[in-house]
Amino acid sequence: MIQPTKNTMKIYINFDINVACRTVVLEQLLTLGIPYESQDLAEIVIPDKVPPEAFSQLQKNLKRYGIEILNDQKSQLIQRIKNTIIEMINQDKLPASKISLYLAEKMNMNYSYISTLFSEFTHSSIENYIILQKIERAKKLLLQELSLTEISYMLNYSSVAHLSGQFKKTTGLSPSVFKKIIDGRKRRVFTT
Amino acid sequence: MIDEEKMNIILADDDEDDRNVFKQAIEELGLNIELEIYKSGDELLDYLNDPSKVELPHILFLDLNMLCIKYDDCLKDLRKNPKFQDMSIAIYSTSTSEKDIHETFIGGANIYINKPSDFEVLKKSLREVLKINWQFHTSGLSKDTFLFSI
Repeated sequence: MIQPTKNTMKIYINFDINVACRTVVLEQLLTLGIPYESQDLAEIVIPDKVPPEAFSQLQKNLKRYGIEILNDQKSQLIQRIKNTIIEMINQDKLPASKISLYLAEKMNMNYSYISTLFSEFTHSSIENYIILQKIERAKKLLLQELSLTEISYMLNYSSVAHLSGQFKKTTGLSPSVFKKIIDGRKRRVFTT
Repeated sequence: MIDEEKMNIILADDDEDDRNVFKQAIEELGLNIELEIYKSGDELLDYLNDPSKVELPHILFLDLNMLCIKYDDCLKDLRKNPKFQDMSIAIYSTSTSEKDIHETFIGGANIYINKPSDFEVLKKSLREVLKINWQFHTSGLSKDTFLFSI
C-alpha cells in the first residue's frame, strides 16, 4: 500500500455499482463465448446447451467479483425483491405511493406473499430491510454534504426528526456523530 | 434468523470470565455459529496473519482493553492490512465515554458494544449485532460506512 506523503494525491471516485456489476458479467460472458440476451438488471438469458465446463468457469470467474449466479427460484425471487427495493431507494426521489403498493406493482405479485417469503428466508422483515437501505442511502447523501432537510425530502421522511430518529435507531449514532466519525477517519488516513 | 449459511465469529478477550460469559451467550442464541476464541491480541494476530488462513471470520469481537504486547495496537494493525478490509470488527468494551466510542470508530471499528452487566441484555445485544452484520454481509452493503453502536 502506498503511504500518503507529500507526493501523493487523493482522488475521489464515484461509481454506479449496478453498471459496474453488469459490465463485469457481460464481459465475462463475452470472454467465455457464451451467447446471451440480457433483460433487466439482474436477469440474463443464456442457451441451455452451454457446456457445463463453461458454466462453472463463469460461476468461478464471477465469484471473484462477489457476483453469484442464483440457482433456485426462491433465492432468485428474494434477490429480485432486494434489487427492486434498492433500485427504488436509489432514485432521486422516492415514489410517493405506499412502498407496499409500489413493490407489489413492480414485482407483479401480491404484497403479503412477497413479505411472508422475505421474512421466511432472510429472517428480517421487508420493512426492516427497507429501513436499512434507506439509512444506507441517507449515509451516502450525508457524506455528499446534503442537509438533513434535503435528505428527508428525498427519502420521503415526514420530518427531519423522523429521519434522525430512524438513523439513530438503525446505527446507534446520530447523523451528525456519524458524519464526524467518517470525516475523522478520512483525516486520519492523511495524517498518519 | 440466518439463512442456512454458517456464520463464523472470533472473540479475543484476555479475561477468562468474560470469555465464558460470551461463549455461553452465543450458544444460547441457538444460531448456526462457529465461534473461535483467543486469549490475547497477540494470539489473535498470529492466527489471522497466518498466510495459510484464507477464510476470515464474518465478525471479530475485540476487547478494547486487552493486552497486546507484540502488536501495540490490535485495531490499527488489523485495519492497516487490506486482507482484513471486509471483516467487521466489533469492539467490546466497558467504557461508555463518547470520546472512547468516537476514537474506536475513527480507528476503524464497525461496531461498538458496551459490555452489559446483565446476561440477558448481552444476549439481546449480540443478537442485534449479528443480525445487522449479516444484513450487511448478505446484501453487499459498504463496510466503509458501516457503524453500529449498542
